[in-house]
Amino acid sequence: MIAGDLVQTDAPTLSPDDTIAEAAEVLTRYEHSNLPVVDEEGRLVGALGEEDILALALPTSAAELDRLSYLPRCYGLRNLEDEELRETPVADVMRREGLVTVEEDELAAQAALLIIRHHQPQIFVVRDGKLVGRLCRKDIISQVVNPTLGVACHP
Amino acid sequence: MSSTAYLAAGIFVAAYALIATERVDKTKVALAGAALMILLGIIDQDTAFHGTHEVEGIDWNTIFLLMGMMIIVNVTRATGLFEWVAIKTAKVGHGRPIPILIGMCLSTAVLSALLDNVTTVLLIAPTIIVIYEALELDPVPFLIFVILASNIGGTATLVGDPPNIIIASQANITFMEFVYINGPIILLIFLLFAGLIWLGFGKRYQVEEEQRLRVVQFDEARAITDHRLLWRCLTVIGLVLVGFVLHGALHLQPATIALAGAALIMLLHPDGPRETLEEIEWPTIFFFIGLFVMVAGLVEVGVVGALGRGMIDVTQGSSLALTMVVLWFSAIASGIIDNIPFVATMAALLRVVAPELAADPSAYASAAELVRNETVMPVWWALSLGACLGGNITLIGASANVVVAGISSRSGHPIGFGRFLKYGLPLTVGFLGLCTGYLWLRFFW
Repeated sequence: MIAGDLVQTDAPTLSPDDTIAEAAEVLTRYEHSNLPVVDEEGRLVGALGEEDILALALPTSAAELDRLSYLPRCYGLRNLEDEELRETPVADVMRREGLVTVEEDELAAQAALLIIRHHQPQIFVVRDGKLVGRLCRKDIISQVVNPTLGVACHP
Repeated sequence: MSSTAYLAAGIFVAAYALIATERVDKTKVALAGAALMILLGIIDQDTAFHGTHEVEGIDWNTIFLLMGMMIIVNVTRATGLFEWVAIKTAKVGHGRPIPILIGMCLSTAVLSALLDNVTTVLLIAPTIIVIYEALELDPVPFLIFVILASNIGGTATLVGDPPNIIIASQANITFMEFVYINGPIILLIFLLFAGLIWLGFGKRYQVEEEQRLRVVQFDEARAITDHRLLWRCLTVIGLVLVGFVLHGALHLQPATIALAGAALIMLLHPDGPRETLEEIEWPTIFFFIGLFVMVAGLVEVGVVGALGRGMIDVTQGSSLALTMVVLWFSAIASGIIDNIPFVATMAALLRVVAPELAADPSAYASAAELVRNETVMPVWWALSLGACLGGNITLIGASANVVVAGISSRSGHPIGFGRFLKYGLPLTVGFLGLCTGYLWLRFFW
């Protein structure tokens, strides 16, 4: 069984030119925690997830701090509503490195292993650098519980 | 010079150029240079690793002192002590920007003198940014002064700045000697520095009651993550400092004290050794190892001796001339390139020329006494003051500067090279002027 057997090809994607506000909207609407960013030719160029939006809500220096527990109780989260931040293109905020991907023809077990190792909710499936779709934990779990693709060849 | 000498000099100059231009990572360069020196037979492995009477080899005293202090500081880091100090300082200043700045400079200078200045600023800088953001002020000018304070404070002691660690080890200088010689001039420089901040900025930065109250509400008690571990760390740091004060009298090397402290803090720390040891800045350690081997290669083939004789010729063996040349030359060199390779080379050079400078070499009981004879001693201090303070000239002059620049930039407040130079250059020139007078008064008057 390969990753391509389980991949969801109709999942939403972002373009580098989309704004943060649009990305946040897609993230909440589809209940996806991490979205692939693809360019016009369909190449996977980055990813933007819930954590990236959360990071924007913190004080700007928070990324360098070990903890924020000593800040005054009145400190809130930064509001994306009134900031020009809202109009920031996805390209400025997305992660370009450390994307967890698997080639379409890799074993589904390899996809599962990467998901576990990198604590990802899902993994992006690619073919020659182009995004094919995504493979979620749930897709693998349902295949484990209720196999529709035949029996595994290992003991 | 022999062809081997030219080869060694070629490797060294190429490595220096790569490090200065940052084309390749400095640790990779230093290790590659060291490996080449041994592979090409310029120096044999035994001499490089263990040294001989003439060649120092890898200075394990420096290496283990660095590692010991890194372990102690990294365990302490997790307790929140540094954040506590920063917040407490801000609250003592009642949220007023300039008193906070002077307090931060003082805390940073003291912590930099007692621990390592890079780690100190690495931990204090982010907290300073949050505090000045709360005051709705641009944190950059304040960070610049904290960087300057950190390098000033680090100059005062043997453990404060890596150049001093190398100098102390190579010239057999004790912790208390650093306090006696560098201490008074650093105190004077710091007082002048704080006075200038007060005069220059006291009126310029005023904030409203609302912002000041925001800073007063910071809760330093919540910064401490683990009270038990904090007290253990403070106890170990206290013991290590007592050890440093007494190491000369006890005939123990500073590295022994730091290693004992590191061992004790690891025994008292619930985490396993893997977590603690992983936090050691291994690239820095290997950078030093590579440099020491390269410098040993240069000494072995006689390049350093030739340079040393050239230096004596130029200054006609005058201790005063040599002291002043080394002070200013070290400062300029340290402002432009990393001061560690410079000091490692200069230290080897001074070791070679020390016997030739001594008025009566036979008057010294041992080789260890001879490298710190009366004529060369002021030059060692000039090297320390010049290399440490010279790091304040530019934004790339010292590791602490580079570390804070990175933090500040990632927090959305980039420190410009020119903006740093505007304060760093004139202040450092003034401070070096003071050092010139001080060294003259102390050793030649």
